[in-house]
Amino acid sequence: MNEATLLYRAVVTERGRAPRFRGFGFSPPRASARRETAANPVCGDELTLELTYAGDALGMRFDGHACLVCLASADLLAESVDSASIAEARRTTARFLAALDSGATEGLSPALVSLLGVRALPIRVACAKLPWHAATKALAAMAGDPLSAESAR
Amino acid sequence: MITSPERSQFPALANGLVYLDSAATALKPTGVVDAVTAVYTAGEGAAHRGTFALAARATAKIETARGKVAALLGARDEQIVFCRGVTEGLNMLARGLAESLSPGDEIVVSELCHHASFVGFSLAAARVGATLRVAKVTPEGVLTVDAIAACISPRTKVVSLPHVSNVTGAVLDAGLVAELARRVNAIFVLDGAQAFPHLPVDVATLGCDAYVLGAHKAYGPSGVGVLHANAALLATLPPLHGGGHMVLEARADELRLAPAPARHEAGTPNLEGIAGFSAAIDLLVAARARGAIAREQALVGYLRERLEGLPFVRIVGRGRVALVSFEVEGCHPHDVATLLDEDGVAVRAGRMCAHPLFAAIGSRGALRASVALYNDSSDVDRLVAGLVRAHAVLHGAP
Repeated sequence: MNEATLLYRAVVTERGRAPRFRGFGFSPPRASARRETAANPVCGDELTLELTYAGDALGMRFDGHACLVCLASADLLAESVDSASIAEARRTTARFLAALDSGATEGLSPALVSLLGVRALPIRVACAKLPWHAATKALAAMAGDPLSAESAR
Repeated sequence: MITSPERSQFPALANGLVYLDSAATALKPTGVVDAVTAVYTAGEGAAHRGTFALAARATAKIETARGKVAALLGARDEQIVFCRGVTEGLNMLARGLAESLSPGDEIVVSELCHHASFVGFSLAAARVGATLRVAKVTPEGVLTVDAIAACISPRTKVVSLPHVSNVTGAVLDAGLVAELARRVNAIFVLDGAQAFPHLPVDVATLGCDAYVLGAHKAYGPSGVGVLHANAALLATLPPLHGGGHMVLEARADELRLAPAPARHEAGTPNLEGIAGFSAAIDLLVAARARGAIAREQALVGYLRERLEGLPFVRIVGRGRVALVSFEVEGCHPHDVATLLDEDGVAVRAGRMCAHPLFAAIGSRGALRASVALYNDSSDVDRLVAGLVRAHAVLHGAP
């Protein structure tokens, strides 16, 4: 009955309003950074991810205009892949996207498990998925995998 | 306290739902459900084709419905074409009228138009190299007659505008626009999707050459709409679809088309939808005899007054009919709508198939509460309570 309120109170409002990874460090971005923009034409939301990779460690930041579910999801995504290798980050993004469909929580942080509460609101799952699809595409390209990048949403 | 004498006729409201999205689609009364079901249970045959009693009854149902719509619009039966909805009706006009346009001819729409008009006529203009002129709204979302006049010239062939805006609820001064169109011999098309369920419509008074309306926002089934147009327009408008019923004779070397309205009604008609629409019209007429129009407008006034009383709400536009769109400070419309849904309150959130308008007013989206026959002041009160709660949750209140 109150899944939406629980979701917002558990993680979405906090991470959506006080994100830890929002805002880009440099504008224009450094040459080594990769930006990936994703949009939801139904609601007009638009998000840009900026990924950097140095010394086998990823960094990710984001910015844009989107609902709190999407912003919180982007912030949790950036936290999940922070300092990870590209291969690890690809596994994490695949695992969470699958979890949004199946509900499987294995290997997910407590915050991501909280975000899975969006599954109770089917119309909002697309909002949660948006940054993760963008990251899937960007990471595939960074791994030099153009076929995966094309098929990733 | 504003109450609804018709509310008990709508079974979807039995569980306490507060439905404030009739501008998207309206709930259906038992009379409409019964009319649709009756078509199936009676086994009524193909209208305009069959030679047995069931088919004759089907034909009679369609022609009776046509007469009801004509009476409501102050038009003649032969000026009423059944189509699939407002989007199809506007696109029938756009595609058909475009066939007689040339590069350099102009079509006037507005930033206030719903996509059915804006995109339909954009596609048509692009197809033939005509120019689309877009009448602009003010930063508050108001479309003035001056802004429309500024777009009309001797090259204008078509003017297509909303009778009532699906975002602001503003009512067009159709008579003034009709005069502007007449001076340049342009065809004046009105999108009546939001107006027909809530206002009396007399096409002669409005002065339009074509008026398009749909059933599903007027308590009828989906998949049914009406394209009304004057006789000259219907006679010369190329039909969008070719098929059965719209030809008198079809041979490889000759096609003789039927006169309007049949000319524009190819294929087997949506009998169950039209029968349902007929029942919806009966409800509408009866409700209006009980003062429904004034009651709805009073309810919209109450809705507006209560929303204006919330310090974190900003209303979009200055319209007074059927609906109010608004923004909630610091909150994305979808987040608010989700929390309202949890409270059993259904509203629309987003850009409402009106991207040009939202871009013009610098908004990325809004919420919209729209009223209908079955709403009352308690629905508005529950919406307001829900907004207060949603605002608190989204700002991190414990």
